[in-house]
Amino acid sequence: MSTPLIEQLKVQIIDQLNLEDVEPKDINPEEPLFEGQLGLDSIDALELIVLLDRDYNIKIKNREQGHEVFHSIAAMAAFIEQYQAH
Amino acid sequence: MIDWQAGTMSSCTIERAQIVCNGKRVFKAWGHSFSSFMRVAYRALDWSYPRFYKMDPLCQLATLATRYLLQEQDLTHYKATEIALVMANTRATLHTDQRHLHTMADADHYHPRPAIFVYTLPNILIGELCMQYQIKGPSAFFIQPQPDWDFLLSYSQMLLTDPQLKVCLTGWIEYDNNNYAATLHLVQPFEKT
Repeated sequence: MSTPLIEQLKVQIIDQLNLEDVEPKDINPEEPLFEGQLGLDSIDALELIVLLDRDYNIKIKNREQGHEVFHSIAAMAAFIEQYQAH
Repeated sequence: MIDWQAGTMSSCTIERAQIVCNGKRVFKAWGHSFSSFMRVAYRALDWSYPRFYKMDPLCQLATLATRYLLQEQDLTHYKATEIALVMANTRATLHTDQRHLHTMADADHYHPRPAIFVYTLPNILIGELCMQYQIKGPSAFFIQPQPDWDFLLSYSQMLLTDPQLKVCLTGWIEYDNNNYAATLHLVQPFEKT
């Protein structure tokens, strides 16, 4: 699956998390963000919360929601689209 | 007068766009900004450590100096608990402190960055090196007006009087707005020199 929002998120995540040697095309949007190839850590998780707040005006309410939203880039995109639709 | 340098097994210096190990220039790249110089010096190593790109300038400098130094002197035959770390500089993490402050300066765009905040203590530099090499020995980070090698090397020797410790990575790592200097010594107890 590839949508403009997913492609935008890939670019934003690479920039926000300083994933220097990663290209957007290298990221599978369905792949788990935290146990996959990107090797993200707990600080990266906090950075993703900042990204959603700053760029999409979305605040993550609790840990469980964070787990669901940050499962993959596709999950993030679906959550953003759902939020913006309301 | 004691010659504290006598315990040094190996040394590495990074300054003015070059890296010198044990008196021999091992890397140079003129005409780069600090961040660009760090990137090209990192890529010149046969080493993949993506976390490098996430570090602040001070930790990048310490990481590269250590990596280049350990190309000259292997640490892998020491146990994690046999290696100590002693580091120092003048400005602590001032550059990163200011970056962190900047993220909070505008009340309408108040977005502190965890990835910046995490580097606002110089001890993090020691933590980064401990993670990279699984070092579990004692450590200290000192703030000094200028490099006091007599103090740093004598302090390292004091640590090395503990028979459980075999070597100490002792260094001066300074960064401020594109001005940088790193000097690292791998120190062993006097009686082995």
